[in-house]
Amino acid sequence: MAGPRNTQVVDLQERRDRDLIERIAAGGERAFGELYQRYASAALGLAHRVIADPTLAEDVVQEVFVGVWQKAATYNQARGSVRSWLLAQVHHKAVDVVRRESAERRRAKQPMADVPQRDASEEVVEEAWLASRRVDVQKALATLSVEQREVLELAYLKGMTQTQVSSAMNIPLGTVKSRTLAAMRRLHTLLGGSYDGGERTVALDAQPSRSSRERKR
Amino acid sequence: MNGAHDTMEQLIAAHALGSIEPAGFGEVGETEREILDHIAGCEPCRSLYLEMRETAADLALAAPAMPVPPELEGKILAQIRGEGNEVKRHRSSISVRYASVAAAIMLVFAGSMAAFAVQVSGRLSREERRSASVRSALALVGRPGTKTATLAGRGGTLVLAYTPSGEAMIFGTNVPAVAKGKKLELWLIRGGVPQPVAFFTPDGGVVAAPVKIQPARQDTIAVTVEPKFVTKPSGSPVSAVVLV
Repeated sequence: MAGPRNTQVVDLQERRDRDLIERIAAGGERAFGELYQRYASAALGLAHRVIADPTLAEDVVQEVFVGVWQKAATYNQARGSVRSWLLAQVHHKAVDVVRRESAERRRAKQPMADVPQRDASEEVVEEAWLASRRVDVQKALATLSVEQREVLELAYLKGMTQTQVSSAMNIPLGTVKSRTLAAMRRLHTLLGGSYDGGERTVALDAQPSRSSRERKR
Repeated sequence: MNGAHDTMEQLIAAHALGSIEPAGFGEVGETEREILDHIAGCEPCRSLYLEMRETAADLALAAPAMPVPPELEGKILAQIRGEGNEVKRHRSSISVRYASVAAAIMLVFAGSMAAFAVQVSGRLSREERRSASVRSALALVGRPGTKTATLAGRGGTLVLAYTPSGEAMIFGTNVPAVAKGKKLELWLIRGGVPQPVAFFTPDGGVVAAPVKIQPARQDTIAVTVEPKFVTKPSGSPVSAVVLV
């Protein structure tokens, strides 16, 4: 069960990511391949969830990783971890596609709670620490109020602007804004961890020590 | 905590979710610039900004991971290998940046020389001084080990060139004039504490002034508009950049 954590440790995954980015910036193709292996399935999952079109989602992932290769030197650790930098680009481009292509028609009309929660260890190759974090996120989301979860669902996974969320939920724009901030703060508290512009820390009990496949045994 | 601050916090959360409207999404638009300007001088909001970005990255994991088609990596590798020239251009970004900055300075320099030819003798010394400053900036940028930080603001760009030894210049072209009676003040913000560096005014749209500064990683370089030299910024920066 995700919950507030007090013991924070330096996230070695973030150090490893940063090392990969530095090597990619220096032209390291092997480092690029390693970063791709780490995040491709998460990136594709996010893009597909937002766009609901497998071909367009792959295009987004391709565009983002080509951009990572070209712009690795511009990564600014003071503005977030490598993970957040990369996934934010995936999200931005996916939402751009949705807004540009009016892809809403193609998207499944399922609230977040109804999205099939597949066991990542059975269907995708994903590193244990990422799979573990995914489980924590799902548990944390389940503890939010329905209203908080819905505002995050519409804003992030459906790519809606705050005004669109206001219309969709039939609540004032000011309420959307305050609820969004409250939901994000609650999620941050539940998941623990922090990033100070240099090191990322995670809660000790969120440190993955076993893969989700191992957990099933 | 005031209303404006609450609004900024809400803006930061919405921005992290990509829920800002209307256009310019995914780019460094006006809203992101507003946020970056604010967090450069507000430590609580800088922390919130980082928290929200990391939380959004966690939220990305709410989407189920997808099996990646085996051919996708090959397509990406083919694209980056097929774009050798493009990739080389980015890998050489530092030298390219120097070259483009140098080119910009040369344009200013050429403009200065053209002006030099037509100005009355009373302005010659001013043009000469400005040209000498530009030549100094050009020499500094071209020196091995010199780093640059670009401060993009509304309508103009300033570049801080600095060396590990503390030699530095702030320069720019097409810098808009500031309001009458006001000047620009350059700041080094370290650990959330702003330190005044220089107080200057654009001369015909050109800034080229030597400054004393030894920035380090994580420092923020910022510019504010001030009526007089001050030791604490009187308002939000018109531009700011965090060094990495």
